[in-house]
Amino acid sequence: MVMMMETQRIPIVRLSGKLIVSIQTALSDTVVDRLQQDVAAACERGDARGLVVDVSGVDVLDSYITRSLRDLAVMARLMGVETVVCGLRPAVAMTLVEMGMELPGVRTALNLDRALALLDSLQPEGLPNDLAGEGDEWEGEA
Amino acid sequence: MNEIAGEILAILRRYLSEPTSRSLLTSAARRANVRLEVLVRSEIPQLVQQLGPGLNIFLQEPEKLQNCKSLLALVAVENAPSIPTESQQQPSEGRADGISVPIRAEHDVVRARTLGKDMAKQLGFSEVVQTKVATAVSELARNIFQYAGTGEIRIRRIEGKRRGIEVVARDQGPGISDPALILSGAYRSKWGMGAGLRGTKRLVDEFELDTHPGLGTTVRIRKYAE
Repeated sequence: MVMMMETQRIPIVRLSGKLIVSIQTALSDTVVDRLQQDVAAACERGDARGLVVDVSGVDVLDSYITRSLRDLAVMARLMGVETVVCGLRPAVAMTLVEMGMELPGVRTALNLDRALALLDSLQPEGLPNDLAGEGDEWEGEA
Repeated sequence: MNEIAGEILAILRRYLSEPTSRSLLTSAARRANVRLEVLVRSEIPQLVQQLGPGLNIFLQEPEKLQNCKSLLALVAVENAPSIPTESQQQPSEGRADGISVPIRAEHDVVRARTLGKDMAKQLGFSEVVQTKVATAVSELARNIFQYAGTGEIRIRRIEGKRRGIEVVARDQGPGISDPALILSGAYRSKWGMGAGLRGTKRLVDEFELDTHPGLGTTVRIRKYAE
């Protein structure tokens, strides 16, 4: 029985200026490559300032997929979109460390909530006021 | 339902909900003419055979279907009546030689990886060990697909004093001309085979690389339950 794996696509959700990708499927190389392209296209539209990749549904991250995730984050940053990878399972994190495959240069967070909070705290200064709403960080500037 | 039937149910439960698993198992038992309350090992093969049609209906994802059937087949072979008892153990060839996954297309890498994880889980390995086994299988399967095109991954359990899992990845690809260099970390390939093999070596307890340029590569790894 052959299934058309090629059609599988990971959805990218837009939510208040952020792109959210939640990976809930076993990752094949093709799916990861397509995700990279889709994220690049989504970044290009210009209305996103942050990207969260939630990998809590991923039970295995091997060297190729890990590198692809890092590339995706670096690519998004080059396009002005900060990326936070979140939800790494403990067993996956331990395996990556043992393999010597950390995610250099990639911000990580425990879960989706914290990832979104981290992105909010990263918003560069000088953005329009509507984005600075929750900013307690201004008070230090006296 | 006795303990032996419980083992079969445990495999089904990995892929299906509790009610579905139970109803599949009871209907298969009826067709196989066996009773789950007093199931004996020699009846497992006929029971497993009767599970096939139901699985085809309820397990939509081909990858999971194949893996579930492979695991069941493994249990069936291990319990086949013709197999002599433990006292006559032979090294590797004698008993069930595990599950073989041909690597021909990219999604076979995912399949091998999932199966590695399922088997490690079946053997009662911890989540971390399961993940390490699955990751190692994924690296080996990907190397086969990327460098040799086709090959085979064979996964089997290791019985004896130390319980564990053995994975053999075999291909007839171009081989590796300088394995020592690759494992040393000084070499970086385009897709990172070096990183993959080095990572695999660090994840497992035993690692054997046998490669002949122009003839192919065989990697044998073993991971024991912690």
